[in-house]
Amino acid sequence: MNRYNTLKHIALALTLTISNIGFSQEWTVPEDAKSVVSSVPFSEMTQQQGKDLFNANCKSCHGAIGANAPLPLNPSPGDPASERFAAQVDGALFFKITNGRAGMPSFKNTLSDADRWALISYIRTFHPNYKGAVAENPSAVNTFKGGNIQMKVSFDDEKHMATVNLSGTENGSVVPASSVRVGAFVQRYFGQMKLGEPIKTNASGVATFEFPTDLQGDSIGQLKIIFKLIDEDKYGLVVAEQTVNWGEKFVYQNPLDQNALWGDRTAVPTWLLLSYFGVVLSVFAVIGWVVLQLLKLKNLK
Amino acid sequence: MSGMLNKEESKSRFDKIADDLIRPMTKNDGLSLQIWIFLLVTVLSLFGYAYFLQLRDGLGVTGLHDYASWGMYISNFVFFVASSLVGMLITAVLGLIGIKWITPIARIAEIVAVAFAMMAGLVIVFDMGRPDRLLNVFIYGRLQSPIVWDLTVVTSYTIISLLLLILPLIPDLAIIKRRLPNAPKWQLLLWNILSFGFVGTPAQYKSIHKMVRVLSILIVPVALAIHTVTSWLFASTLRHGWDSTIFGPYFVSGAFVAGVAWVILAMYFFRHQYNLKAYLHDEVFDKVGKLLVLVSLVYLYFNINEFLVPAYKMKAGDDHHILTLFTGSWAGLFWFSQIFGNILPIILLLFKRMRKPGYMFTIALLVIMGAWIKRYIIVVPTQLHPHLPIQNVPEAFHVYTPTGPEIAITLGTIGMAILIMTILAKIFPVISIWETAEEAGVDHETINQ
Repeated sequence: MNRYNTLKHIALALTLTISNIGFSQEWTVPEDAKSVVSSVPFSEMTQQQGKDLFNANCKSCHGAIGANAPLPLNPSPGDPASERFAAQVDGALFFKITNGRAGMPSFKNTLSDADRWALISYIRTFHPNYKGAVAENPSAVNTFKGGNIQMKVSFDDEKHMATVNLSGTENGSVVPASSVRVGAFVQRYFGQMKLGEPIKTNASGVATFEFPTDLQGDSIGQLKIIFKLIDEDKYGLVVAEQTVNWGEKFVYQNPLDQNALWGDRTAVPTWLLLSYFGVVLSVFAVIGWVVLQLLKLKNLK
Repeated sequence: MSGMLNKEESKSRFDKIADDLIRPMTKNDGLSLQIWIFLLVTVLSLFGYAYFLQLRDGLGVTGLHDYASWGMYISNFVFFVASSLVGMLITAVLGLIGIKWITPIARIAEIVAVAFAMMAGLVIVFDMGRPDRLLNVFIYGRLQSPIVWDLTVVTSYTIISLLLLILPLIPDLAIIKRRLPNAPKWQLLLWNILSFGFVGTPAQYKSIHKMVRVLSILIVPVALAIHTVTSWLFASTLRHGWDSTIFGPYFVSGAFVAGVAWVILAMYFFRHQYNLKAYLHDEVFDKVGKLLVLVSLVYLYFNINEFLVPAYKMKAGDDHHILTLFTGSWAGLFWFSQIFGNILPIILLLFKRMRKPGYMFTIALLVIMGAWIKRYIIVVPTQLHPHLPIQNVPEAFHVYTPTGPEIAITLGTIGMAILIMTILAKIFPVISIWETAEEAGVDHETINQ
């Protein structure tokens, strides 16, 4: 056993050494990735958002920003306030956060594009010589150009339908926000479940959703439906939530209540009960018969 | 046959048989018996002290731990259940197909069966740190649990084996009662009760034959059940080395090997100690030797299946298990049990000159050692490499070493089984008098005069 452990340690040490050689090399970012820039300008809002995200996702390894106290890993995570980070362009940072490497995880599926840009926006506040770079024409597509979008939702409980009504401010006046993508979600234990594909609002800023009739609700059939603007990086976070009561009632079935092999003694499967007592009773019936014959033996002439 | 002998001849022949077979019960065995009993009592005293320690301090006095929670005790339990199965093989299987040469060994086989079946139940109790909690099996036991089935089959098998021991004894006890009127009072009382008022009427003979036949049929499925359930305690668990579909027949075939070996040991012992050379003669040994070859061949076949098929595939996990058995830390015990407990006995017993009492005694001893070790390496190694290892498990959990008290208790249970056999063989004739007389052509009238 000891020899086995020693071997294990040597193997581990070798692996670590080899990986050190491998990872201490430069982390190269493809040229085209470097040229990527944020589609929204960095603002106080994105910085605040980035700060929260940093504390939740990055601080555990990179340490409090500016304190130069990253975890002593190899390669070092580094303090994002340091020159090492300031020297990199936005696209390079974005690429690294997105893809990760070795100890640095990929945030591709954990954080949205907007979140990752918000992080960079926050990090940049520690780089005094940084000059912002934003795409020349961030929204070339034909979408609502205004901002300050308000969302109103009305439900039709009979038909399990919802109508989302968007209005926004464009050129100083409030108008229907058309061509804005709205997504519908339902709240689940571990996150939000997407319901179908996002729908674009029509010319009057309306998107209509039809829901399946068999959505699983809670024990009294309640569901929390959430509507969100998909282009969060452009319009900010616009959300509407509504609890409806047309979900299917969830009836919890304790697997221990079934008559099954894993059940307790009161939940014996019928087939087992019958075969057990069938066999045991037949065997003991025969034994009983023999004992009876034995007792009768002396009377047999 | 009875028509061929005249009254006088019949009488003298019966007298000789009855005297020969009853003599060991009355004879003062003197020193040899005293030494034998002293040995057994020594083993049992050691057992008593060890069990006292275990009751006082709990299972901590054993080498059992969270990995190997089944160790020597459960291996011994499986071995006992296996040894007891020979009663069914001889009385039922060979008896029902009408094989004549089993007459002198049928009762020996039943005595072995009863002794080991009774002890098998007790061994489980000795494996409990708190034996008082046995009651919980009845209060809270689940029908879904193999432990409950195990308890059921062990009990049923013990009862049926006891009945199959007592039923053919009834006419014998009636004979002994008449021939030994000056025996101690308690013995006379015992014979009186257990002869159930038998006087030898044709209806009584018929009734006994019928009961024996019915129980001989019944004991076949029950015996298969007892050992199949024992094998399922392992096979119904998803563990390397236990996760096998052939564990039932594999265990049953192995049981016949161990049981026949025990019968050979007992035959040899009674032949010499009880001076029964004329009844347990060379020809019976020859036949039992052939029987051992037959059951060992079947067992060998199952062994090849059980080890060769997984060894060919070397599934992850199984590979480690198989390699430790074949070439690793368990290789010594594994190959000892395979070679000395199975292959070598088959080869040796194929030769007629090896099927003599002396050689067969040695071979049977090896088979029994191999059989015990085999159970040990079925039970223990599998547990030492679990599917879900405990985190930060102590180094000591990767090995299992039985402690002194554990070994003493195990030896004690074997001693108890042998003691039960010794007592049964002292208060009852080890060979059926009436059946032997019947085969010698003596009529019922002479037997029951």
